[in-house]
Parts: sequence; C-alpha cells; structure tokens
Amino acid sequence: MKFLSNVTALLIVLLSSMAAQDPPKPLPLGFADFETVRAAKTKGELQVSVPSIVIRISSKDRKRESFAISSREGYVSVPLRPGSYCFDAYDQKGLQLELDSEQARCFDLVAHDRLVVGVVLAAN
Amino acid sequence: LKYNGQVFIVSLKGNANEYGAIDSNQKVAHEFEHGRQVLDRELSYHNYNPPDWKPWALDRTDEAKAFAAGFDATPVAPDQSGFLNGMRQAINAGGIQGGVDYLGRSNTKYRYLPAGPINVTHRSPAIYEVPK
Repeated sequence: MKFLSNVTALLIVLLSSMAAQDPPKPLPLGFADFETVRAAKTKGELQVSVPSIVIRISSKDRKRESFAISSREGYVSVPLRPGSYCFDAYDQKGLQLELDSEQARCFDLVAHDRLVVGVVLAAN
Repeated sequence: LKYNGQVFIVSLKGNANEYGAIDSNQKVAHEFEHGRQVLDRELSYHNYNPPDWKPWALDRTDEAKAFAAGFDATPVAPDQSGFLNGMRQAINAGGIQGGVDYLGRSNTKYRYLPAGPINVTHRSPAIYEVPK
C-alpha cells in the first residue's frame, strides 16, 4: 500500500513538472536573400542575374560555414542564426569566382530580419 | 512599399531609423517612386517562399531613385539626419550614381544591396507582373 502511494506521489510530481515546462522556444533565425548578378563593365549599366552560383557563407570567426546555390533566376534565401557573416562565390566545380571589388562581402543579420544581399561577380 | 499577393500597400509606419527620420512627404514620394519602378519592371515582388511576398530585383539604384524622389518632394532640412543630408549631397554632386555609391558606403542595410540597376527579366508565376 505504501509502495502504491509512493508511486502515485512520484507520478504526480512527474506530471506537474511536465506541465510546468515552458513550450519549446522557436529557433531565432534571420534570412539572407542572395541575388547573384554580374557587374556591368561600366557603372550604371544593367547588371544581369547569374544562375547556379555556389555561395559559401562563413561566420566572421570562420568557425561555421554554410553553402547555398542560386536558382536559375539568380536567387536563394538562406536561413541563418543571428550574427556576422562574410561570403564568397564559386562555380559548381568549386572554383572561386572573382567578386566585384565595390560590393560589400560581409553582413550582419539579426533574428527575424530579412536582408537582400547582392553577390556581385566581377565584370567579364 | 509592400505587396501581399493582392494589393500594394504604402506604409508610412516604417522604422524611422531605417530611413534616417525621413519626413512624411519624403516617405510618400519615396514609396510612390518604388511603385513607378514596379510599373516599369525595375522592381517587383516574389513569393518563392510562400506565403510572403518579398522584393525582387531590388538594388541600390532603385533606392537612390526613391530617395531622390523624396528630396524632390521636400528638400532635406539641415536638422534631418546625417544620413539623409549625406544622401542629398551625394545625389546633388553625382546624380543617381552618386546616391548609389553613397548607399554602398552607408551604415545601413542598403549597403548589402547590389548596385544595380537590375531589372525584372524573368517571368514566373512566383514573380508579380503588372497586368497588361
């Protein structure tokens, strides 16, 4: 009898501790919307979308990296943890592509924000 | 300027810091210039990640033109932010390209945008197209 009451008490404690648990917290994420384009030879001329560019996104401390590939329209959205990131670009064989020298290569992302980030390849 | 899949919405409740405390006249003119860009296929919206519609082909040229339109509506006052005054000086000195370069150096999220101009060249059900 004493055993049963102990088990009942234990169950009550377990159930009440489960009920007291907070609901799972959503993962804090930001979104980097990359546009892969090629710079024009002359400033002010049209920049053209470039498909299938592999983007390496590295945390500024270089401890984490992610990869993404842009669509045929030159677009890819990447969810990332809040933080500071830099990126570079490659073709699908893994060869690094030269980026336009005037374009920012690093960005700061905060949770729940969405940034449009240009990956601008150097002019041909 | 936002698009929700049915209508375009001009919101004047944006983060004042983001615009650098742009005034209401400047803001209306800024957003209506973005509307003109949608009509001329310089800018659009996409829903590749439904349900949201997000800017498509957005670049610093679009933004520089929008700021210039805002300044045409109401000149920048000296007591407006350093960002807006710097933007005005850049456009006065170098036209739209001056504004594009200034945004690229600014401490705002505009600097991450490609310089452009990038126009809407792709046709897709996921990209808004002005009805003919």
